[in-house]
Amino acid sequence: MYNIDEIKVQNQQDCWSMMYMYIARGIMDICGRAGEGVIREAVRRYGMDRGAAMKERLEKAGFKTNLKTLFTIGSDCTVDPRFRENLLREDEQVRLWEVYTCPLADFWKEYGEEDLGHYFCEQCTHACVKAFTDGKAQTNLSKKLTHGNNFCRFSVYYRPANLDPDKRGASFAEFDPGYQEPDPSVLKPVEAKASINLNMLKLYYYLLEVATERFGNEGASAVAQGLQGFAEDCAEMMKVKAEHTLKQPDAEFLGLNFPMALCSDEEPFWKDHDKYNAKKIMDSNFYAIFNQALGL
Amino acid sequence: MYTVEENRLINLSDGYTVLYGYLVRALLDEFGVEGDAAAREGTRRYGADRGRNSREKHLKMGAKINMKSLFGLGGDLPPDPRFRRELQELNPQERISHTLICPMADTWKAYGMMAIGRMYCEEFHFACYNTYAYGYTQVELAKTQTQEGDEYCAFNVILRPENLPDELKPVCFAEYDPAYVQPSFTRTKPDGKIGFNSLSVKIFYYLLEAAEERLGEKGRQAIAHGLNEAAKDAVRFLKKSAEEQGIKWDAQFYDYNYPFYFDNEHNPMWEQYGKHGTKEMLEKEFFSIIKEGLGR
Repeated sequence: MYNIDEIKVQNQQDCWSMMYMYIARGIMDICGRAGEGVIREAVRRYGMDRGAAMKERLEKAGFKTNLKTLFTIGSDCTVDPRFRENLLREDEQVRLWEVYTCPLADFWKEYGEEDLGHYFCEQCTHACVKAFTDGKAQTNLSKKLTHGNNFCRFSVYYRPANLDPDKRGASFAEFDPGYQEPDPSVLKPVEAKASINLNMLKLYYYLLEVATERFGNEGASAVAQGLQGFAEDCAEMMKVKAEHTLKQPDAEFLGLNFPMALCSDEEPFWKDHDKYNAKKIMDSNFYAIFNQALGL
Repeated sequence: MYTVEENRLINLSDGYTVLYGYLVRALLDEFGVEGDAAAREGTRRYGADRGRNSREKHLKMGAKINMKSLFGLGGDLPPDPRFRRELQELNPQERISHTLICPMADTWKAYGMMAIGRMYCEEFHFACYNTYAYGYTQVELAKTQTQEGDEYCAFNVILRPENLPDELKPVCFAEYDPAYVQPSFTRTKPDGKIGFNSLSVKIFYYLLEAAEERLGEKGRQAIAHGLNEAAKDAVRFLKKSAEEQGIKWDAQFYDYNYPFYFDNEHNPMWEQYGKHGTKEMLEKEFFSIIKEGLGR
């Protein structure tokens, strides 16, 4: 049993999983096997963007950028309470963990779309860590819940010896004599809705970007088709989720359980991401259908 | 119980494993993190050399450069009778396997060189498999016997066609090369002595090269010291092995059971790996001790 606040995070997370799945499906359906390359490249850009942003955030706050800070105070996501993980080791150089229950994998499996999930899993963490460590760390993912295994096993290694001597101090305190770590409270914890919102919009944007780069208007249309499917199914899902918590799927409920703003004009994200008609495509292929289905 | 021939392979394998351990330990003891950096760089160059060699060999055979070829056509690592592997999947895109018994990991553990073995696992496999497929292989080695707590090695070595540039797709995958007719291949296993001699000369060569480049004359001296230690250990363990098998400890026994040819002058590997004074250094720092141990 989860409490009402935990359920809100879960509902938002499911929207993220659903959006990725529908857009990726749209790309595969229209672009064929080369669509896989679009999805993988988009996920890599998404992961790189997140890794670079986390690095910048930690650096600005005066922290070392190593595996410990990346996966603790530097993390940009709120963990869905349905995740079941076992942290085996966590220090500046090594992070080992296993995931036994993953709500993303479960969601994609329910729709029979593990393969789309698998593309995501094979690219995202690697790209994120790569950007965070300027390509110097090594990410290993030998077992995957989206690829027939009953757990995921991640091992990430980041060795000072693989960095240029003048760069070691930025990541490892032992190479920066006199370094005083700031109080962790200077970094505000990431708020769940804000983080899922940002990650959702980024993922959409990169999928659209790569689809457009590689397939032009046809690629953009594939993303649009995915958004349409997402809008219809997401509206239905929100109705069910509202019913499960004895609520109406109205603006108030959606404000707490749906990660995006109910009107795209309220999203600050678009100010810096205005290429490829990204906002317009979202408006006409998602919001028009979603809002109508929910009577908003 | 092993046969005499199997015992030779075991000794050759251990000789190679321990040689790496002593050379790297000498660098770590003398230079700390800078020695670590040189050892990792040398290991990567060694891995890249092996990957490149396998690729060239497979291209000459008319094979596609993919995971099925890499792991199915016979590599350059001679067999060790103690090795136990469970192969789960081998296709052009993936090779998924569990290494249940790794004699190299066991040997490093027995010699207190676990951290050195970890370094080997982190650097060698990535460099080798990645170089093989033009830098596009995803090497996922999340569980390794050189990582404390892991009871087996989980290898997922992956090459996705949709992560390749268009020009490499037909080089790597038959389904992107419509005119391709696969020749018939004969899988060959490398000869133990020739194979381990080749690997040992290469690892010595690249560690020396990286040490010299990064650490100068002192780096060279550290490698010389590592050779001294490896030779002393070789005399000890080969004498013991000869005694256990009731075989005379002489130059012939050495030659059957240790990677480097006793006739150092005519080792065919020097033609390609004779730079940096490798042959002379091996004679002076390694064979002088072996010969003394043989009473010569």
